[in-house]
Amino acid sequence: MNEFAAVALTAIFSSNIISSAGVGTATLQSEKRSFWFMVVSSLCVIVSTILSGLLVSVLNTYVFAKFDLEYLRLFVAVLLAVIMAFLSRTILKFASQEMFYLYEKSYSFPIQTAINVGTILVINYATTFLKIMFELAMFCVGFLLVQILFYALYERLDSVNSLKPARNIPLMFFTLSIVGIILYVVGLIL
Amino acid sequence: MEKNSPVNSVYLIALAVSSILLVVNSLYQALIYCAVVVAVFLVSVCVVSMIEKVADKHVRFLMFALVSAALITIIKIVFGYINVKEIVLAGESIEFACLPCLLLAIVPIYFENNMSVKEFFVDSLLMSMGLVLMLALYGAIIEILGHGTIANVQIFKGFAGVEFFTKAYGAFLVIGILTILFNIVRRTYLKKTRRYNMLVEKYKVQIREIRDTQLRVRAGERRDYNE
Repeated sequence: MNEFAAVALTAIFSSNIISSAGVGTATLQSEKRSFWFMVVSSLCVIVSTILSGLLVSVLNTYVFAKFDLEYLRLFVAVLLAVIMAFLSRTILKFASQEMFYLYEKSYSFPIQTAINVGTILVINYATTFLKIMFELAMFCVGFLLVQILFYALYERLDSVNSLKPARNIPLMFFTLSIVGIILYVVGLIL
Repeated sequence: MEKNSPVNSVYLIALAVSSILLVVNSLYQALIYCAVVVAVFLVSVCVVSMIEKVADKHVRFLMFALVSAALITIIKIVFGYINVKEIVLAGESIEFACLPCLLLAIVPIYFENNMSVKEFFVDSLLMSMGLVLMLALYGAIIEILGHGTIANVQIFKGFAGVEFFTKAYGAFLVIGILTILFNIVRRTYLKKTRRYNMLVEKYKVQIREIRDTQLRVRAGERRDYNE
């Protein structure tokens, strides 16, 4: 049980999730600062990450490890990440036209693929299937946590008057830095 | 380019750098990643450009991702045969070089539809140069502030670096500051280009006016001569 708790804490509060989520956060918020768009696009990322991560772990256990084909992992991870991102995009297309329009306009598909690949690469596949599943779930919880914290912080920081070159993109990175510090401190306390 | 759009060169370069911030913590590593990312990006874009007319943009992106993954796998295998400490260290997590490639591919695949070959080449080259510059600066700053060295050489005696800059939040701060600097350069360049274009337009109008006046004068002279 303690082992699972350690995995959960590391996955949620480690710097990995902040950096791989950071790729998404900066972009997901860029097109339109809508709370629901943030939730929907995060769910797309979570669904595609979990599905592709689990498939990679199954392939890793039954194919790559058995036949010594470890070097094919990146190729398969990228292929599955793109396919799963496309699947979530198709689901979104049928679910909500408005969200799908925002999703397309903010170039979320390639960025979502990059987040999927990044998360798949940081997962440790040398453990059991259950642990990998748990780690993936915790990564997704961490991702959602970062998104929500970022959304709340960025909204406030953006309304403050700042120099023109420091607006938008640099401000997003500064917000991510603050989110990172908050998560690090919380992780230390826990 | 839109104000807040992801298709902004500085934005994409900053995103690309942030995607590998955990695996780059020295100048040498930054330079190795620069070389790998630029080579993989340019080769993959060239391969994908062959199917530009026949495939949808998402299919092209899938193709780009697969080609870049294959190239990085080959590079990882090659790195395994090189016995240089920095390359061995970088080779352990070279798979992450796929992420900046995927992010940089947004411009040639999703955005630039009506570009000439020259414009496409210049744009890709500028993006690559921007990435190299930002990643190299990032690697150098992180190495100096986080470890107190530059290219594995101690700078100040007794200064072993600040732990803050070796973590993700410190790295985000450094990338944010670098993005501000790049934004200033980009804005200045765009202003100068706009001013240059305006001047060119102004001179074109003036030359046209002078030519019209000369033609009118000549026509008048001819009329006087005929009369």
